[in-house]
Amino acid sequence: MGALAAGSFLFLLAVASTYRLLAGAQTVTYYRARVPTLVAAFAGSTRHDIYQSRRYLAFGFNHPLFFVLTLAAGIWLGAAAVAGDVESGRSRLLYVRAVDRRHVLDRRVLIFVAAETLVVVAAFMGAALGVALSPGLAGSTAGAARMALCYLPLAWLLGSVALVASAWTSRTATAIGVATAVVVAAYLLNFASLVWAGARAIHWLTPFGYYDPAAAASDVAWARCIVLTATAIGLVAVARHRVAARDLV
Amino acid sequence: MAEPAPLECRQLTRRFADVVAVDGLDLQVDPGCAMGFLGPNGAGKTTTLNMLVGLMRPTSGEARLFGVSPSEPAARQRIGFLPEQPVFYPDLSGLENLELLAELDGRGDSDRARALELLGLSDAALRRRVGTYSAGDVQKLGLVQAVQHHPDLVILDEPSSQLDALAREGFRALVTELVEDGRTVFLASHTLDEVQTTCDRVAVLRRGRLLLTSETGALAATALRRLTVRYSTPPAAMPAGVVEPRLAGNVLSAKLAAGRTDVLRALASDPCVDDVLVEPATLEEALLALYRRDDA
Repeated sequence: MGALAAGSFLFLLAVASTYRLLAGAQTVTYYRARVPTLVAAFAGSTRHDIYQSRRYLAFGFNHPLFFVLTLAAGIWLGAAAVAGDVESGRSRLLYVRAVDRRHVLDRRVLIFVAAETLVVVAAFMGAALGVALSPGLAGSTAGAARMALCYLPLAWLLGSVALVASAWTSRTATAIGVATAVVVAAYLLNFASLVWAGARAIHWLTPFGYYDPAAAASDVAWARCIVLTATAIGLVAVARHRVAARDLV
Repeated sequence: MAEPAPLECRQLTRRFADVVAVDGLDLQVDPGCAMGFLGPNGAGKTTTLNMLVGLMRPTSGEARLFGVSPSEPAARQRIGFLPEQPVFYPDLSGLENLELLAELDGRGDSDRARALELLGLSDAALRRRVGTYSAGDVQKLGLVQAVQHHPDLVILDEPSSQLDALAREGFRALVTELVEDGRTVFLASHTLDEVQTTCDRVAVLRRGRLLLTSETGALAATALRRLTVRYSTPPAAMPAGVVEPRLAGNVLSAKLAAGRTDVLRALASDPCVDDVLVEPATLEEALLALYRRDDA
C-alpha cells in the first residue's frame, strides 16, 4: 500500500514538474496549439485543450500508469475481500463467528475505500508539489484537487467490481482477473468513444465516460460523481446479497 | 418449556451437481453429550459440519443450533468451531489471533487460560507469529479459539490429527471438562480410540447417509469379541461356536459373538486349556463390521 501511494505521489510529481518539457512551449508551438485527438483522448477528453496549463494535469490523472497505481490497491483488496478468505480457508474461522457476513464485508469495503482514497490523496500531493516546482503550472493546485475528487468515485466503482467478482468466486486470482478485464475493456471502450465518432454512443456506457479530468480542472461534475458513487454502492449491495447467500468454503 | 437441542438436523441434504454428499441426515445431540461423528473418507462429515456452522447452505432439509438456523448470527454465538485445518493470520501472533477472534465472538475469553494450560501452549509460543508455528501448535491454537469464549456447543473437525501424545492427553482432559461442565461436544474424527475414550455417543455416516447412532460402548459390544485360548497341548479340533479360528502352536486366536457363554463354559471344562482371554472389540472393529453389514 505504501509503495502504491509513493508511486502515485512520484508519478504525479514527475508529470507536474516536467510540464515545460512535455507540454510547454515546444509542444504547443509544434502543434500550433491544436491538440491531436489521440493525445486528447489519452488525457480523457476531446472537449478541452489539455495543453492549457490549468488542464495539463489531466494528462497525469488519466494516464494508464496512474490507473494502475491507484486501482491496484482497491482491486486487490476488493478481490481478496471474500475470495481470499475462502481460498485460504480463513473463512472457516471468521464466518462461523456471531457476526453477520455482510458486516464483515462492510469492514472490507471500508478498508478498500480507505486504501484507494489514500493512494489518490498521495497522487494529489505529488501533483501539488509538482505544481509548486513548475512556475508554468501556477494556480493549478485547486484543479488537481478537483481532478482527484472526481477520480475517487471512479476508483471506488472499479474496486467494487473486484468486490462483486470476489463475492462470486473462491479464488482471488479469478476475481482480480475479472476486475482487470472489466477495467481494461471499459478504458478501451471509452478511448474508442473519444477518438472515433461512430463510437460516441458508448461513451456513457463505460465508467470512464463519467470521468473527465480536463473538465474537472475548472469544475467538479457532481452529477457524474453521484452516478459513479451510486453505481459503486449498487455493486456493493449486489456483493452483500451474494455473500449472504453463498457457501463460504 | 424445554430448551431446544444444541444440535439438530432434519432431512439435511447437500448435493454437488450429481453427487449427494449428505443425504437426508436426521440427527440430534442432547445437552451435555459428547458425540463422535464417524465415517470413512468422503462420507460427508465435513460437509455436514460446514452446514452446521453456517458456512454452507443445505440443498434441502435444515440444521438447527439451539433451535435457530446456523445462518443466524444468534445461533453461532453459542458455538465454538474447529475446522479440519485452521488457518490463522500468519503475520499476527497467536495471542493477537485469539484476541481478534474473541472480539468477533463478543463473549470474552474466560476459558482461554485453562485451554492453553491443558494443551500446553506456552506464553512464549503465543507471542510468536503464527507463521512460525508447527502444525501441532496451529492445531492447539485452533482448539483454544474454539473454546476460549465458553461456548455451549463445541464442534470439532479432526481435532487431534496433528497433536502429539501429550497434547492428545490434554485434549481428552479438555473434552472431559467441557462435558462435566454441562456443555455439548460434537466431534468428527478418524482417531477412533480417541472417540472411544471421550465420547459417550457416536453417529456413523457413510456415503452421506446416517448408518446409526448409538452409545459408544453399545456399538463396540455389537462386534465380535477377541478370544485367545492357550492350550497345554495342541487341540485335536477347534472349539465349536468360535469364528475365524487360527491356531499358532498351542495358542488359538478367534472371535466370539456376545452371549456365547456356552463356548466359554466348554473351554473352562476342557482339561487341555490353560488360559482363556476374552477382550471386547475396539470401536474400529465394530465400525468395520458395521461397514461390512452395510455393504452386504
